[in-house]
Amino acid sequence: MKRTWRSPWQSTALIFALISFFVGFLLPGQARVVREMKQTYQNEDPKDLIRVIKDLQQRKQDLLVEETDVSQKVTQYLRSSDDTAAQVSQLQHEATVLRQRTGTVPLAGPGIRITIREQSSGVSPSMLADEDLLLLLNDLWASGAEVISLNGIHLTDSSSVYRAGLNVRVGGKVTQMPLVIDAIGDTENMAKGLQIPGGVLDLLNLRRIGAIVQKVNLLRISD
Amino acid sequence: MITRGRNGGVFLAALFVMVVGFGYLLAVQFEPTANKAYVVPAQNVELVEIMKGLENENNAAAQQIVDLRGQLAELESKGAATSDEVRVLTQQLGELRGKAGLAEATGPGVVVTLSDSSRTPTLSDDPNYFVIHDGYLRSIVNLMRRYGATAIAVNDQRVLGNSPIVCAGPIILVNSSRMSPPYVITALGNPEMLADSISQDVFFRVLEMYRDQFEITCSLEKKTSVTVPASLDNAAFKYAVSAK
Repeated sequence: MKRTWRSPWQSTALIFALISFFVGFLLPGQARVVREMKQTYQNEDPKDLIRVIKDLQQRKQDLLVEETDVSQKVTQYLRSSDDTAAQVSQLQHEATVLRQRTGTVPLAGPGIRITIREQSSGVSPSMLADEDLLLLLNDLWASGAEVISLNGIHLTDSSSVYRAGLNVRVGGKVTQMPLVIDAIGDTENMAKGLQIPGGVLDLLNLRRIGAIVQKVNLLRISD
Repeated sequence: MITRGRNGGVFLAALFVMVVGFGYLLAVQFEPTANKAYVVPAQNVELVEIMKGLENENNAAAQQIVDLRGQLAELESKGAATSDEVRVLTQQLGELRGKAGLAEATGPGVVVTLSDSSRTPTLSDDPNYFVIHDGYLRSIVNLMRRYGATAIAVNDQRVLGNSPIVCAGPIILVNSSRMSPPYVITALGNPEMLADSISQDVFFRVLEMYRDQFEITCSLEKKTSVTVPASLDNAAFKYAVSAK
């Protein structure tokens, strides 16, 4: 009986081909598993999912407020279809609310004041970056701020905020450090939101940027 | 025999090296997901169900608001025909609603699209470069405002000055609503001015570098017409009042 003996390199090539086939076979399956997990979020940290659920519950409340408000306006309008004075009153009330919202009138209320100072002395002076400022403002909005001003400049929907050298540009206006940020809104929640361990204040402190938070009973933000 | 024995040894050594190499490659490929793929926390199934249920409720509430606003606009339009005072006020209100982001806006603009990399990071990669972070969206929105955008949206959410953009692990939330990639950031404004300025900005160039190196999606397009949805938030403040 004649025994066929493949050369070692032929065998190597054969095994190489087999292994390559299995790798090729397995990789698309793995990619599919990763894609599915991303889509279903079922492999996420439960803490993250709980945070999302809390936000969605908050969103539900916010939408309910607007739904109830518009529904009441519709009902009032239907009731006052023959009453011009009532219609005028309703429209004027909404116009007042919208003027407050768009920042065309000065506003007052309880809130917090954050004073931010860079350290200009030493070998490597600290500097507040655009991202730090955006994160700080974002955390304030997320924790219940209604109106914010930076060194007295009222932030509106179109206000951008960024560093321009040593200056800070807020919309079309220029201001300088130190920054005094006034935020009218839910005082307790805002203070709590900023002081979350690992949050924006910790980040600033790590970078040697001083941030002092004070609760204020009555802040005034001009238009 | 001696030659064959020596060849066999070389063959075994080569085979060993190859198998170890492939084993390593497989381990590298599977490592980022192995721990999570087969150990799905039991409560996650329930949490995801709750999350989806809330999203369905919120979508229904959002549609209800859109319908009610349409009904109100119709009534106001009828009311405007009855008196000059009501007509003038209704017109002013329309402008104020537009300024407050409570009305849908359409016009020329730009669209920036960002999405996570389709490439799975290996052990030697930093996975942070392969995903879109909430900070990227905040920076792009800030750039759009800087270069004159008059209305902005991320996916289906209108972004106003007070719209928080946050993350919970890998999930990005805008207006407390979960966003799914791709993140489409739409801005109304002068398309030339917006596109030229954004594309030359350092931050956008860094994102383009990540696109080239880590295969994230990052694109910027000029558009002759884009539509930004209305904000569904209530405009009234709880704490701020007009100052005397």
